[in-house]
Amino acid sequence: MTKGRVLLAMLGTDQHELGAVAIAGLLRDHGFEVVYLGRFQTPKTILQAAIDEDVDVIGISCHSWEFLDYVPELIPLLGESEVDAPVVLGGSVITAEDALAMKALGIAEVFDSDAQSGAILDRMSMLAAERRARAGIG
Amino acid sequence: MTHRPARTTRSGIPVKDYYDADDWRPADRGEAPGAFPYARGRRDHAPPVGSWIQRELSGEGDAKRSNQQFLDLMAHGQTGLDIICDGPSGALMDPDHPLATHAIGTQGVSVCHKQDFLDLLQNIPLDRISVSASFPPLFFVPGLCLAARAYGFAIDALRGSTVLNPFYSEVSGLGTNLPFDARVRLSCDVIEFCSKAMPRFHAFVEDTYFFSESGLNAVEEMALGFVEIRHLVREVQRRGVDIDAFAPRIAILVNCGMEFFEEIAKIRATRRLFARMMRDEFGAKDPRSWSVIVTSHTSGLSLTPQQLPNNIVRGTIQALSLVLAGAHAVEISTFDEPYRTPTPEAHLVGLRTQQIIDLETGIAKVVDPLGGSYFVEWLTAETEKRIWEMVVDIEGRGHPRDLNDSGWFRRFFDDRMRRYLQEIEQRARLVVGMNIHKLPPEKDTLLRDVSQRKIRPARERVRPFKEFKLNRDFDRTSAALRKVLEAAKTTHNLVPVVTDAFDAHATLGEIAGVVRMAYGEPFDPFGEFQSPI
Amino acid sequence: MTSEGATHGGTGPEWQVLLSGLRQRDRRALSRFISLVEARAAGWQDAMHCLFAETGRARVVGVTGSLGTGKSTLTGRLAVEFIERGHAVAILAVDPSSPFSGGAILGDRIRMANLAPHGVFLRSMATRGAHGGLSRATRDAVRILDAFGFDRILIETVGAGQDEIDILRVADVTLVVSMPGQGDEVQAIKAGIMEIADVFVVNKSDCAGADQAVADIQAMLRVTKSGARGGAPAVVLKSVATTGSGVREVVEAIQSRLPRAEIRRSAPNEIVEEVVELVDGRLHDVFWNELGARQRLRERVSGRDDVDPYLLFGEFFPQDLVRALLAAARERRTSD
Repeated sequence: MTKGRVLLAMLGTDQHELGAVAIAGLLRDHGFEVVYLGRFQTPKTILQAAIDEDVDVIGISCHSWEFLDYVPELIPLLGESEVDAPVVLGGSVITAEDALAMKALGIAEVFDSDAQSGAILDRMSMLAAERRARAGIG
Repeated sequence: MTHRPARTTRSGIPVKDYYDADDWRPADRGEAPGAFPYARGRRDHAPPVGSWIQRELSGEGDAKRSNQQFLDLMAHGQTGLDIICDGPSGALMDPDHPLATHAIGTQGVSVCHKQDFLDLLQNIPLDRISVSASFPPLFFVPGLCLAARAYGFAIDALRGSTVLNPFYSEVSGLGTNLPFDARVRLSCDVIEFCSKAMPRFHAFVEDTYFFSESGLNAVEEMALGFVEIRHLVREVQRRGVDIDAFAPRIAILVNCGMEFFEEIAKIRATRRLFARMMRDEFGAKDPRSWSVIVTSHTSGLSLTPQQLPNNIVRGTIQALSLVLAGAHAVEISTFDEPYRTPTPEAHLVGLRTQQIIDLETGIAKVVDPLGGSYFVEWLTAETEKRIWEMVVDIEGRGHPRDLNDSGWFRRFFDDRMRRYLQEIEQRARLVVGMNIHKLPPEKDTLLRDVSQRKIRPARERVRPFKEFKLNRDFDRTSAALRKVLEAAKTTHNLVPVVTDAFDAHATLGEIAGVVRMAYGEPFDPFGEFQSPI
Repeated sequence: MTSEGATHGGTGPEWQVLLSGLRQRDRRALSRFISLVEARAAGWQDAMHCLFAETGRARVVGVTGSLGTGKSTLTGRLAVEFIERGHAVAILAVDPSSPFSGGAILGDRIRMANLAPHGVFLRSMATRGAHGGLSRATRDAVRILDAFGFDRILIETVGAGQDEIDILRVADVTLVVSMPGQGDEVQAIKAGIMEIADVFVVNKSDCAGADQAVADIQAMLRVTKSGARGGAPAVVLKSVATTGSGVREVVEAIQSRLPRAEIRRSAPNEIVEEVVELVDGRLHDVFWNELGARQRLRERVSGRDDVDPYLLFGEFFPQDLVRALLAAARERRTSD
């Protein structure tokens, strides 16, 4: 049985993939299935993939500020379609203030550059397990 | 707790406790700067060997704002310009593309049509100052030519450079959604055009900086760079251009990390390898073809969002290694790099760092002061050997297009990205402030206010841009775009037709889209725009 | 009703709600249905039984071949071509799970980004330990998509190895994609696939060596027995997926080899094999997981390196197995 299905994406023209690629490998090495969308994604494309793939967690890797403008579009869009997978952000560009603002909008977790692999895995496991339980997938 | 450093360099070269005369390869003794094989220094050039072009990578917001930024930096004493375009322009999108909307002008300058180029380069003495650019291949040179024409500069007097990165752009964060063959062709068109029309312009800057920021070490960086250089050189030669007609204007923009002596050795080894390759393998006769210019941008990846002042120290150490290695131009990655494109404050610190090294240390009075150091000479030879071994290995794996299409390059980069972060996490690589000697966030406040300032996307560009598209003489534009499409389907050099297209008010996104169509791909890979012709 | 794969919720998923969602063409219901069946959630077999009668209209095309052949691009082109001919298209992209961690990177969506506007349903699946190139639930996912109303289902797998031939059992027509210059063209296509696949496509045929590649495959086909179900002999075609050249011909070759009957039913021996597989899977889970045999085995072996596996086998079989079968039978009786 899988630990969970995690979608990983980068938004807009944010092309730095180093973090995303590393996290994808980390998750894969610990039993997750990573639906890797890669670059040039928008709230619409993420919504469609989240529905089709029935993912348990949506992860966005951030290296530019575009997430500040995209997240307020993404969260309501997911809500309207009743997609209940939690959204997490990761990236060293995210400041402590940004993290607070994002959580206030509904982001479930923010991993900054201090986040260690162990903590990331624990949190992702928990989020995925909770969502799978809600969905009855188990 | 003391930490003994690992006994290898970052690229894995084992190092002894000390070196002596026996470690200095006899073949390398007796080399002199400015003479073949140039490990100790390139041929005499302006600026004279021993000094270097001091500049900071710049570009933000719209063209007018960036122009002001350039003038400010020049007023602070920078002696060259290096311009980077924003995310959308880098991905060959116009500001009205839906994917561009939150990134206009935030990581570089938003440039997409002729007027932008004119605004960008106004009041810049294009015949006296070197103007370098990190733009997608092909698109900067036409813009520069139009600006030169508008401001009364002869094209053949233009100095500066444009980076070319056809192989690795798509897998290292500079994706343009152009097929491999198109990317190579555009690069070769620029090289060929400039070899005839812009003899003072370095149309072929192999930019190993940007792709090595995916966690590559020095050997991997230069090996991949040489693989690309060799391929492009062969392609241009296949077009019938004589090697000595374009090789003198090849340059390499390298990364500069924290492994101090290895970065120096890397540059010396690169000059030596290039010289031998050009003379002995490609048959170049002109010594200017053998002597390559090496410029550098210091590593952004080496900088940390924690304890930002540490980044000033890093930039200084890296710049020092570059000056000792005889880099032709230096850009310091600014202390706020982990958070943003450089603030004016950070730019100033970067420039002042270079100026202090130049004016206060005396280091630049002597060329290659480390020449004859047992360790540096040994490391240069060792690095040279390993780079070349890797070049041979990669070239043996097949045509670069196949390595591209089969995903080999992609896996190579993915693997290095993972390796880099694993090294940090497992503390195989120590980074002060990040995985050792940390500070709790509430104590880590210095320079944070400057570095965490944000720039809003320049969305105000979008409406005037849409109006510009509506009001232009579209008959003229579409005729010019059609010429680009036709030329792109054949082997006609695209630089003149693209210049004409910009002059006829075509946009960057439109020209790129039309090139894609010529290569059988959709005008817009995201399906948001249809071709206007 | 079995309680296989019991979830922590007592009653299990709301299958009736999902079934009705499926019939109303709700993609979220479709997607969730696939997840639950893939996870073998409680009641999944009954749910599949409920929709089985609504299957049979879809035609399944397998697309296999090694990395770098442009297989994903070609699959995307085939999808668009089918759409233009009026079909409703779904794609299953199957990627291998790591044998060490059980995880997987499912990256095929990147290469098919242009399909979204056409309404193509794209689902990535990991093999999850299955060995034939597909996952246990791939066939089930096909049926779910079939019942939903997709009439062209493309399954893309990497399988170019000798063992990865499950695709041949699940697909009506199987394509093998290769490209020129892979060394010996025939070596690149392993024996199993060669014998039974229907359409061989040499992609990137604008590259040197394309004609030679075609000739090599044709020569091999003359030697081996070809043609999956004794129907049309295998054909070798050329394409350039990036430009679309040759795609129409590939689609025509596929269409002409698809079963003609309006409702496609499996042959009796295929049904036997499928039930054997389902029972095997269930037996395996019950014995090793639910009844804890794997754990007991681990404890027996724990820390020792001198255990005779043949002896242990004798101990576990038939006693533990008989116990497991009795337990399972008892359960059925009580829940009937």
